[in-house]
Amino acid sequence: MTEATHFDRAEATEEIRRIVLSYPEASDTGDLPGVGRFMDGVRLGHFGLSDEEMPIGSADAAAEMYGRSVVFYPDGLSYAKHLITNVDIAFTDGGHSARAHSTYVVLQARPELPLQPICTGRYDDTLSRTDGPWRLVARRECMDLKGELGFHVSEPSHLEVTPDASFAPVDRDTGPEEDEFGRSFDRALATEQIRRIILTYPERVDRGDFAAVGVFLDGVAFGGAVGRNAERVPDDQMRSMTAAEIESLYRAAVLTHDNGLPHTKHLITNIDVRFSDDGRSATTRSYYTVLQGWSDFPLQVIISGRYDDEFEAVDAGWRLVSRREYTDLVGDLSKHVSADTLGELSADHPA
Amino acid sequence: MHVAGTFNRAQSTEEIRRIILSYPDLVDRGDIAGVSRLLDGVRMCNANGILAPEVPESEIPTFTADEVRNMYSGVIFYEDGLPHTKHVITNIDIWFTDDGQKAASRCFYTVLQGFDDFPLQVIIAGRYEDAFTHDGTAWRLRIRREYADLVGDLSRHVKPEVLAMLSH
Repeated sequence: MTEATHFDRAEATEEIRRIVLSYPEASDTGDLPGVGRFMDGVRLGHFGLSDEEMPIGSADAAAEMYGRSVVFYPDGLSYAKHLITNVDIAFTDGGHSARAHSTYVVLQARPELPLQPICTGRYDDTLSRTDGPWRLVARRECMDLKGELGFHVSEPSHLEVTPDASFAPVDRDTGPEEDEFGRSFDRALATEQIRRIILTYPERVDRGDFAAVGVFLDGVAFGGAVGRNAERVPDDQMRSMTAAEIESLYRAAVLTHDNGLPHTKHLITNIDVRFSDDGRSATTRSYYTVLQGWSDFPLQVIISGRYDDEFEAVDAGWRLVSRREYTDLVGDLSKHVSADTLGELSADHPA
Repeated sequence: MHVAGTFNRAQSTEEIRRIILSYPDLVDRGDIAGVSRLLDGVRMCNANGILAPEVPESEIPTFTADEVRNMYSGVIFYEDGLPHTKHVITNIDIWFTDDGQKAASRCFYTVLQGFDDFPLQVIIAGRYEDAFTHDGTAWRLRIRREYADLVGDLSRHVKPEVLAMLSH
């Protein structure tokens, strides 16, 4: 570690997560220049290849190749959603290099294709930092399970499961000793507290505890929109409600079965936490994917979308100030929400 | 170096996440020897349903590496040695005691599986509730409580006798 270099493990983790999560943001919105920028100067290849065996991508060629091989629909979207999970970041080389392992699950929904996972696999990314920000150096990919890819890529027969591939071994040293936390705030603790707030909602709603959901969203400015290309909900359209109002709204809208449970599971992935410079406020983005199933309804993905949240630091930790919920992909919601709510969702949704 | 007062929260978070994430990596590769090493000496239990009460620690047995290996005798591994599953881990929440010597975590698991004649689908989803201690050099998984919340078609993942047991 050179003397001028300051290593903040929490901040480095956050930056690297953001790079890994930027690929879904670009690809799922049909942002081909964004895909190109992601791959620009990056060695790309499958698991098991050495650096020398992997060509270095260029922005233009990567964008062109992606545009040609991935199916984009008339509104410019792929209607695919890349969930990024199992993210493991290991620092090496005194905090100048890192390896990020992650799992991807691609969901898709089309009028002819009920919402479902269409493939899943892993990324093995190498990143480095010299003086400036972290940079992706190499991405190795491996597809583990293949589903119905016919609505996502133009030549599905060209895509095969990567044979028996495991991660190239990583020499996971413990990384450098961190600078003392003499700064304005503890980034690692703040990240933990904010993640916990985001993860509270699934805990409550999946238990059918709508009173607790009311408490969670009490006084939070809330807005919703449908579609991956939806504009950000403007501040003047955000509404806040009391805990009691939210509870009764949920009781009316969410279906529960036999034992009072909605039989759902809200998966939260792709969590990106960004702090203001003074560490007093934060914005986050995350993806939600809801599973549902029981004896009469095969276990399946019923909806997937995003939360854009704003937080502020308070004495006891952090407070959720606003939540924007965007619905991206819709499956069979008939067992999850009342007919009225279903009508509102499908009226807005192009699929 | 890990003593009270110099507890490095970011690094501990990273190490605990790595333990949690090493299980899917091993099991999806069919590396049961690796799984048995990971879970050797860990106290483990199973329960079903999202409202299942927490199993008291005193009721949770400790498993040896051999016993862990036996647990997987009911899982189907195909000709290539793989179970053709993918364990997706989400909603990871880790919290620490004030002295940084103990930690607990909750996370969700979702298992995907697919074959040519079995569309890629979710076959089960549930939770892990884990307890960790720091032994002076590294974090160790001490207790794993597994809760199955939503169950799908497990017919390609576990052998018929296990399936029959699960459906009761």
